[in-house]
Parts: sequence; C-alpha cells; structure tokens
Amino acid sequence: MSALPVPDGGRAADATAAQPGHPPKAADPDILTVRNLALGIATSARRVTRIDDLGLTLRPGEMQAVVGPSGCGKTSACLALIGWNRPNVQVLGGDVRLLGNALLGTPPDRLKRLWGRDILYVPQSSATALVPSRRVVDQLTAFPGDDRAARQARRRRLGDAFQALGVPGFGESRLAHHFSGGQLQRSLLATVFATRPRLLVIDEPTTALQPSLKTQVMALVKARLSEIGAAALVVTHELDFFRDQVDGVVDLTTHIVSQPDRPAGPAAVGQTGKSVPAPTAVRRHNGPAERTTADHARGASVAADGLTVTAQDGHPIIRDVSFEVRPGTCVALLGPSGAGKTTVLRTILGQHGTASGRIAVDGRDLPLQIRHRRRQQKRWIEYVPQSVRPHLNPALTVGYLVRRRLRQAGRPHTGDQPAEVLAALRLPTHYLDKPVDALSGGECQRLGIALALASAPRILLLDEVTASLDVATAMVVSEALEAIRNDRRSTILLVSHQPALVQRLAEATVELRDGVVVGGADPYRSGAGGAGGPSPPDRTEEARAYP
Amino acid sequence: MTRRMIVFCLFVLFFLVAPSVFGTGAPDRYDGLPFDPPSATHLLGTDYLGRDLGRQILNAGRTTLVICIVATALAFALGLGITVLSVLVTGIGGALLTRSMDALIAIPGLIIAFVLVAALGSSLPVLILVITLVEFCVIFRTLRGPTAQVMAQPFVAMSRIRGEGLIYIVGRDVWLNIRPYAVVELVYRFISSLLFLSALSMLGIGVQPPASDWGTLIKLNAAGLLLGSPAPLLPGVFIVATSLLALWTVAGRSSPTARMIVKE
Repeated sequence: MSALPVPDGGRAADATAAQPGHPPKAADPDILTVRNLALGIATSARRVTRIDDLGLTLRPGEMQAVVGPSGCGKTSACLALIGWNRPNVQVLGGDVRLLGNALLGTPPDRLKRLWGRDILYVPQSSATALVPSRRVVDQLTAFPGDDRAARQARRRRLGDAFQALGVPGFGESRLAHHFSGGQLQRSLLATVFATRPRLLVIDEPTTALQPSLKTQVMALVKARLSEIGAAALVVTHELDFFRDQVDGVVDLTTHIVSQPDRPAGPAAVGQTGKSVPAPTAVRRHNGPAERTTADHARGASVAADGLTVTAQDGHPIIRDVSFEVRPGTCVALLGPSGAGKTTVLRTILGQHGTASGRIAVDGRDLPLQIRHRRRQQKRWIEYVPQSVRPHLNPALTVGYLVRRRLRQAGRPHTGDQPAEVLAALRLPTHYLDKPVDALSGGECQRLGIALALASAPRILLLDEVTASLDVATAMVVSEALEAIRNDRRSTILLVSHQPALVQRLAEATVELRDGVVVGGADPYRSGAGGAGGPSPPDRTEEARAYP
Repeated sequence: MTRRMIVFCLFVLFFLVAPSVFGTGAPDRYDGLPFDPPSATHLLGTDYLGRDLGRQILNAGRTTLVICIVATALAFALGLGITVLSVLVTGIGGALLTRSMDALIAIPGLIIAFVLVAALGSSLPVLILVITLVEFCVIFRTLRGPTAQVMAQPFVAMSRIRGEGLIYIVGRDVWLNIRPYAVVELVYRFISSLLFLSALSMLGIGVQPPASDWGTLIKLNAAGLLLGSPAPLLPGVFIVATSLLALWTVAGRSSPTARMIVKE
C-alpha cells in the first residue's frame, strides 16, 4: 500500500480544465471562503432548520471536517456551498467564494462546468450513487467534455488509485453489486485521484471501512490534496477519527438557530429507556428443550455448517463457513472489507441462489432458499442492512411500518406502543406521521433498528448498522441493542468494523478472510468458530472473488 | 383527492345528471328551424332537425362519458393486472405475455374496431369492449417499466425476506410507488378513449342514432358547416374542453417529487 498512485499529473486529461497544473503550495489564494452563510433546510413539512453565520476558509492542501448530529443537514449544507440546492434547501444569504470568485448566484450552466472539474463531490451512499446497470469504472471515468485520450488517461489513473486503495477487480467490468460496501466506498473515493479538482466535498468517506484501512485511505487522500493543491471538506460524524486527520472542524450544531427534529437530551433517557427492559431482567432459557408457541419471542440457536456461495462466474464468495450461535447470544462476524461478511448474512436470509451447506435454527434445518421457507420461518429473522434507506418503502409512513410490525409480532400496536418503539431509538413521537421519504439517512438507520426490534425477531442480523451514525446516535443504538441482548429475546449476528460496538455487544466472534473462517473467539466453548479452519485461506487475487 | 380532481368529478357528474334535470327532449319534437343560430330560447342554436342543440349535447355527453369512463376503468384494471402478472411471472411465461402485448399494440386500433363492430354490431357493450381492447395494452406498456423498476428495489426484496404476502407487495410496495405514473396514465387513456370513440362515431360505426354521442352530433350536423351554423363545431368544443379539463386535473402529477402518502 506504500506505492502511492502518483499520477503523472495527467496533463493530457486536464488540459481542458479551468486551472491546469497548479503548482502546489504556491502563494495561491484561498480555495474556498465562506462568510456569514445562512441556510434554511426543511427537515419536514413544518420544521425548518436554520443554519446561520456559517464561515470557513480552506487553504490549498487543507482538509476540514463538517460535523453534526444525523439529520441536521450536513450534506445539504455542503451541497449548497457548491451551488447545488436540494429541493428542501434555501440559501438565505452570505458569500461563498471559490478561488476568489463568487459561487452563489453563478448561473447553472457555469456551475455545471465547475462541477466535476474544479469541484468534485464524492457522495455518501455508495450503493445509490452509481447506476446499477452500468460498469462502475465506466461511470467513475465519465466526465463531460473528455475526449478519447483524456478518458484513457483518467482510466489509467483510476486503475492506479484502485490498486492503491486496495479495491480489486478494476479490469473486470464489474457492476456496483459486485463490490462490497467498503470497496464501493473506496472506488468512489478513487475519483479523487483521477481528477484535478480544487475543491473536494467528500461525504462520509470511511463509514464502511475498518479502522486500519481508514487511516491508510485518508493518508492517501491527503497526499493527493497537497499534490494537486486542492482543499477538501469532509462531511463526517466520526469526529474521533477525523480530529487528528483534519486541519479544522466546522460544527454545524453551533450554527443551528432553530433546533432540528431531535429528541431532548440526556434528560429524556430515563423515560424513554422504559420501553427497553432493564438489563437486570435477564431470563435465560435452558436450551431449546421446550418448544411452545410463546417461544416465538425468544432467541433461537443458529448453526451454519459448510456454507458455500459461488458467484455467477464460478468464483467462491464464501467457502465452507461454519459457526454456531447459542440462543439469545450475540456473535460478531469480523474480517476486512470484502471478506464475505454480508454474504454470510444474506445467505442466512436465503438470498443466494448458489448457496450450499446447511443452516439450522434450533436444531432444525432452515431451507437455504427464501422461496422454500414458510412464512413463519421468514418472520423469525429480522435483518438491518448497512444502508436502511433503500430498504424501506418511501411511500409509507413511519407509523404504518411500526404498527404493522407490532401487529405481525402479535404485540399490542395501538395507543402508546408505536411511540415507545421509536422512543427506544430516541426518535420523537411525531415522526409516526412522517413518510419514510422525509427522514435523513441516520434517522432511517435508527428507524430500521426500531422496526427490527418491534418485530421481536428470534434472530436479528445486523450489518454495519452504526457505521453511518454520529457518535451520540450510535451510542443510543448500541444501548438499545445491548438491552435486547441482555434480555436474551433475540439471537444477534453482528457485522461491524467498529471495535467499540463489537466489544460492547458480542460474546463471541467469527473471523472471516477471503470468504473463509480463519478464526474466532468463543469464551464459552471452543470449536464453534474454527470449524472452517482447515481450509487454508487462499490469498490470490482470484480468491478474493466478488464479495 | 385534490381540488382539481373534485372539479373534474363535478364536471362528469353534471353530464350524468343533466339529461334527467333538463329533460332528454323527444327525438321527434322540433324546437325550431334547422340550424338556427344561438338565441335566448336556444342558447346553442338548433341542430339539423331543428332540435335544441344544447339539450342534444347534454344528452350525448352522458353517453360519451359513460362509455369512456367505463372503458377506461376496465382497460386500467386489465392493464394493471397484466402488468403485475408479467413482472411476477419470470421466465418464458412473462416473456410470452410481454411479447403478445407488443403484438396487440402493433395492430391499429381502427382495424380492431372495424372487425369487432362488423362481427358483433355496434352497441354500447361492443364499443366499450373495443375501446378497452385498444387501450389496455398501452396502459400495460406504460406501467410495466415503473412496476419492474419498483419490484427491483431493495425494499421489495426486504418485504419478501420478511415474509410479506403478494397482496402487501403489490398493494403497498408497488402500487403506492407507481401511483403517480398510474394516475397520469389513467387520465391519458381517458382522453385517448374519448377521442377514439368520437372518431368511431364520426366514421359511423360508433354510437348509432337515435342515441348519440358528441362524435355522432358532429357527423349529423356536418351539413351545417355550409350554412355557417356553429352546430357541427360545438360538440367538438365539448370534446376538447373535457380533454383539457382532464389534463389539468393531473398537471404536474407525474413529477417524481409529487409523492402521495398513505396514512393508516
């Protein structure tokens, strides 16, 4: 990873750019100056967050972080800075200058020439930022106005960047779904190396990456910044990580005039905590002996035996994965980005047509394909994906979703119940009337967990659920999850790069690498995690497979 | 239900009840000379037989709107049903369905009409059948794209994972998300069937006298053109007005931001 992709400057490609070949560290003007910027951001039909008096200065080579709680308008504000107003955003006043030229009020056709050339935006949600049916590399190298030579130069530099960032499969015409979440995030970030922007807006660049990779990736990005004399705004909630990385922090909360839809502070914790049973009420069932109908509300044991999934082209994605989770415990699936963790979860959900092996729930075989499962078996399992938003029907209201899950779980779904479900994740009651469409990414994430808990599943599959949340919200989520674990109502299978969450929740771990179980820790019993051990991890690029 | 939709519904309701309120007028009762210009007694003048044209238009309006609305509703239900079926049935069955719908679209509507009317005669049910047949495959073609797109969304996969039934997936996941398209398509098909019916009547294979629709009125009063009477034009004005009003009802609805929200 030491081999930095030091692009040759790629002058061929950038001859058409507005400022070709700026010598770095010259007595350049400030890249971006923002003064007294005031924004109105509509967070719901009635509420408007007002951000006032926002100011910052970015010098060449600098990187600053924009932080704030989820749903406060970080992304909206940063997009407004570069002239892209989302429908719910209104610029109320202030001054934004790029290299001394006013950016606000620039006509759209001139802005369009800036975007992708002088200004580069790296979006947050890697899955939705790309067209699913077009090759990822083609999309990342498509810049308007490129001629053939420029496109090829761009492609070459993107290839170098893929290699440096450790993303496999550059030359394989892959589509977005052939990459894992972390790989997609890095491939989007690779555009930074294929362009010569002056200003970068990078939205949550490291949420899907493990800590060691985060540092590497950000080091590369910073090296690139100083190389091309650009400056970057990083939208993030991982302030702990970025504090050492950035040259300055812009905290949006200090600029917010009217509070956005947020639950009250710590004072509310005591009340809302009620809906989550206290950790002291630990009831442990002794094994899966008695199987009554009431068992539905109790965690089930899950055993995977020799799970193997092959991609369409024959590459194995996961091979001979075996592990066992005892009823009501929490096991974490660990491993580097692209190791096949999500594939394991999706196989348990019956989503892989090529899966072979055995999955047993409470000692009974669970069909590997979802279409062979009975409705009741499907209802045992709840899944919270990495990015909840696209997994929720945007046309439905929060209240409808909550009530439906409560009803399906046979729990009371009238009166205060739905509000209590939301309160467990500190979502305010009036959100019940909101359409899912109106929620921010972080709010969707919390809602996803709230919905999963509302169903009282026997098995709960969590895929990087806190990765896109700010620290405070992630705390709320892990508290709620811990309460569930302590109550032993659900067996939890957790995929996370965040050591804090794993440490807090997981009682055992299973470690995957290149689709093979390479280890694990089970304090109660040995042999649970290491069943797949004998098969040596194949480290060739071939075996990395499509994650 | 927006204000515009209410306006349109009142418009339709007016034509449905108007003949009962203002009297249908006996076909053999002549109110004046043929092709009288508009006057205080005959607001829209008289027709080719000297009957009050306003009353004739109200009368014809009921027939026109009943045929169009029933045919559009049938075509829409059929089109939507087949759309959902074609997306759910994968493999050769779905392909066969889609291709046969394509073939049906390829046949010109007028030819379908000529054949069916020649075979079955021109009656109200036959006209409704003809229009339904011509329109439903277009509805299928328009809605299939959005439906297939929604079905490929992660939230539909999630519903399947959660064990939600077909009714939920079609009724909540799919319908709510294609509804903006569907509403617009519904209105386009209504206008299309109005124009198609009028064309059939103009050609003489549509509504047969003594019953009349707006197209028939244009055809019967055509001679008035030579006499400088507005009688042949006025039914056309009503056809155009109805079409425009229907378009206005859904103006701006097709934009993806115009989402409709269900409350339980």
